[in-house]
Amino acid sequence: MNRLAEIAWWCSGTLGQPWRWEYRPLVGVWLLVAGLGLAYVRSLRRHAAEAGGEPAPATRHYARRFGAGLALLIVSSDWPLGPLGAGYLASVAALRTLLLTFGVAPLLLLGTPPWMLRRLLRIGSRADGRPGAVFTLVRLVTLPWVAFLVFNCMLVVTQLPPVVDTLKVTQLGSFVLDIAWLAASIIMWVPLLRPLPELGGLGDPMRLLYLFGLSILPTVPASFLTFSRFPLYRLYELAPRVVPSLDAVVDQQIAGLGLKIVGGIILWSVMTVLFFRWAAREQPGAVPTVSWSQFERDLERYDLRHRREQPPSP
Amino acid sequence: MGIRMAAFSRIQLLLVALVVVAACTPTTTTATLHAAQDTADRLPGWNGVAVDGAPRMPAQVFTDADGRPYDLRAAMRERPTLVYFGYTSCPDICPVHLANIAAALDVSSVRDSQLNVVFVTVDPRRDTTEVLADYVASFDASFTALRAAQGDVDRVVTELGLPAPVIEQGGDNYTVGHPSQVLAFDRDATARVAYPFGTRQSQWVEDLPKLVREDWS
Repeated sequence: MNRLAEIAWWCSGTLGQPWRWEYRPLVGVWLLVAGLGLAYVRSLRRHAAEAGGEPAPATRHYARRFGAGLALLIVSSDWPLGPLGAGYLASVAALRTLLLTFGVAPLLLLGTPPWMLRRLLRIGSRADGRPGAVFTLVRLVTLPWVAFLVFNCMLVVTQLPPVVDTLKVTQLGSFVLDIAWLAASIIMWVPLLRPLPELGGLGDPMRLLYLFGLSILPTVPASFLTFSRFPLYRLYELAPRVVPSLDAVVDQQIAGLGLKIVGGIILWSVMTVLFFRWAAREQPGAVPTVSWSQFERDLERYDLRHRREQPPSP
Repeated sequence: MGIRMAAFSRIQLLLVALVVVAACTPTTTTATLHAAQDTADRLPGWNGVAVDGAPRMPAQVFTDADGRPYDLRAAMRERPTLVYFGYTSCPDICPVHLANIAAALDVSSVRDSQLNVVFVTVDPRRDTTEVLADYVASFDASFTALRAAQGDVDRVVTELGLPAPVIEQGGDNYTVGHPSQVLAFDRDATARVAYPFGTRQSQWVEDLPKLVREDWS
């Protein structure tokens, strides 16, 4: 009975309870991942059935990425990283932020086939085919400047001490913070990854500028964490020590530096890759090379496979 | 097929509802601790609360970490003193309190010679002088660690109006229930301010100079 009472549904601050290196699954995390996984598989099957029983060639490619995103979601949110970050160590909270932003969000987005995204965006669409509220809202928040604003505002808000100290100490608040951050991260990636032509996206030079901006603005909250004389968060300051030699200020400094340095390295690495790809394409006489799998994905992205498979009209 | 699909959707809805409802469950310990901190009646101008009845430190000669007799009440005449009753195996509150005081002393203008920080063990069975010496040194070498017979410690704690220590679990790895506040004594050995668990480093930095000045107004 005591074991049952100890089950935590979502990772939240547990001030006053000493940390134990004893596996305790977070039921809500597993339920969320199972729900997403089941919905994904069900959607794939339905789509395959509609296409005559054969899954599209690119499906496995997408499924692998989506599966990796879900696996990373479990790693970042279940024991030990979830509860450690939610209630004990600011540095682990920063690590979770990095995993959700640069791992889970892009993998889930890259793992969702375009037809599935379109189906999601069609929710609430009108009978005459005009876009509904979902598409209009998603189109708005994924406009590059809006996405940039949403992501950075969310970054600041979710790092504010009153927000963290108030929300992270309840399972609902912690859940809301995690989901809000994941949603903001997905929104941030849409203009870069351009999953659907109808959602728009950025050209190569603007993508570099967008990434540059993303690498600069988070410096502000990261600096507060790094250079503050005192612990900013009551939650982490008063939490029982996990590592006796790691005091709250040093833990906070590691969090700030981690967000800045690791986040910066990732963003600048992506910028470097994009820059060289762009430069290669701009070379005079350069012949674009497209792999077959890329071609398959592009067919889906532009919704051309379905049209090709339509029977010719009489 | 339609029935199966409907059942499947219901299961998904149920899963989502479970997540949401489950996520609403508050973490009781946390909520209670924060509520206690927020509702504490602070002394005007201080980050601590008034000590009921302003009790004096009872007469008791302890043993310090070097094994020498230590008259705490007599020592209080030399400088203001912070006293905390805890134990070295304490997994949560004790190390946080001591670490926060040590960190605040590092950044405040108060020197070690101006304030005595005393840790009195409520678990003399396990906290030998050697254990105590290592423990307090891990926070701040200037901290004083004291022990006495269990009955004497219980009496001192009770006479100060604090709840007596309670051994909460059996076996060698037992935990001890003990007062969670740090008491600030003036040079007359009178407890003036109590700092509950939840007092932050920045609050200590604000109050330490006032404690040294004995600015009780």
